Amino acid sequence: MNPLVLDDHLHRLADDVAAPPSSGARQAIGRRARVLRRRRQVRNAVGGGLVVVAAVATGLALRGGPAADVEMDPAGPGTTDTGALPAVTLDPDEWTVIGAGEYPEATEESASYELWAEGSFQVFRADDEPAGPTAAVSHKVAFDPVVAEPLDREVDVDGDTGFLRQTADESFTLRWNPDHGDTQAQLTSWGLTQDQVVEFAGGLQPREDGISAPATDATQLGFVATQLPVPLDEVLVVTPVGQPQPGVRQVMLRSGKRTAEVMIDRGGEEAYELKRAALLATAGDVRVTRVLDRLALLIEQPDGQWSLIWRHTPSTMITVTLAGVERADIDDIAGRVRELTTDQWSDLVGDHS
Amino acid sequence: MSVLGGAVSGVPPAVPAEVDERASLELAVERSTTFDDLFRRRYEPMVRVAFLLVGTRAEAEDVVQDAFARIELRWARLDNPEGYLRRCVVNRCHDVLRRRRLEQRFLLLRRDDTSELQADELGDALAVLSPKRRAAVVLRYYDGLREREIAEILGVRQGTVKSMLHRALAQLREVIER
Repeated sequence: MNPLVLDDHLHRLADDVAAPPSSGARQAIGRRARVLRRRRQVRNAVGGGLVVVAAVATGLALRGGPAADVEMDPAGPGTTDTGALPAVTLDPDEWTVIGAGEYPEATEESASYELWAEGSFQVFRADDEPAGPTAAVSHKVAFDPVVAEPLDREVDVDGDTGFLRQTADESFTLRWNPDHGDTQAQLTSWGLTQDQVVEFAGGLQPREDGISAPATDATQLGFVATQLPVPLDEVLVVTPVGQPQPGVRQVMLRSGKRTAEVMIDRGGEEAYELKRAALLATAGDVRVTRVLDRLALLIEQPDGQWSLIWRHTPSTMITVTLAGVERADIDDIAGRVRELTTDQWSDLVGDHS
Repeated sequence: MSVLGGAVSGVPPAVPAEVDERASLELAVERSTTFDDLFRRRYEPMVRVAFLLVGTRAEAEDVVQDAFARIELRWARLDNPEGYLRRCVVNRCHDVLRRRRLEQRFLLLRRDDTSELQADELGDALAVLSPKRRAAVVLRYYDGLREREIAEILGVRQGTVKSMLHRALAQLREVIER
């Protein structure tokens, strides 16, 4: 292809796209920046290693009960939290490290989960069933109405038009403008049928009616669930805070044709729930297993990969992404996860970065 | 309309030597701008770049607003906000494409059927390029960046960009001629 023709053609494709730097766009950027700043302030507010409960508190109990009714910590992180990132790898007798490093900021992928929760983020899950039906709901102030995207199906959400898309065998995404206000809601589900998703969404009552954009500090986003097609409880989201530490540690390993990527992220309950919801949105099989004495979820991805995710400490989570492995081998691999000391981690990075 | 031109070289046009001087000047000018200057000057062009990468206007705006929000937070610490903006936009576009690819694998769709670019054969062809090759093509031939700048944004060596562009052009030609 002639580059000059390509240049000309790309301009013809894109130059018709009108997106002027309007005040609406500027306000949307300001809102996002405020959300990010608030999250950062919360993270930095208290000294290293402390954990506070930043409750997504109002309307916590679906059944009107106290917070004690709310499911806590379904994946069971370890109780100690020194504030430093942990380090893990796979059994060196079987796996060879081909790269290791640490980075000061969250990956773009993690950051995108963070933005998914711009506004409020709530998780509803069957009690005592970490791998059971789940609905993750985000609610944000927005001028724009939700519009259909390719592959969306139109559904009625208690009188509002919603756009539903099936993203995996047992996963749906539903987007709608609740109660005609200046807000957008998005629900991602796992383990619920299409009818159950629509019924559950139809029963989500906004905590505040008729919200107008722009949001103020007093704006109350989020919902109280009033229709439960299956037993679901709201998960209490615990946000860890601490001194900024290296944001991400990563180890890449190989064993024959099998590869593993270990990603160690800073992030508490909310970050964990966001990442978990993103993985469930495209999940096949989902199982509960144990890694280093902690509950973990094993999530099959449609590209043949498997993700093993667990909260390692209250403020850190670990994801191991496995490719080229057989399902039958995964429990064995989970048993080969090894924790490293600070010195061992430094040596590993020194040898492989 | 065919987008195939006459001679098919597959080699990106040469970049004149004075570009480094121009880059230094651009950087100096940029340091004196404000965030709102950058927003007014670069918002629409970056939405267009993102549109070529993700194929839908709504997602393109979403990606660019996200990138600007991150820049606003880091403004005082950024030496080269425009470079950081491009890197954020390209990375977020990769996230969008990765998520979409996973969804499409489930739906057994062969290629990117969500793109609004499909009405055009070049749009079709762009959709089959890998995210990095697609980014390299758009940054080089739409945004007019140099290979060195593209290498910084994509986190690869300059030689890799050259080879990515070469292969992308060959792939585009193959898809369009098919």
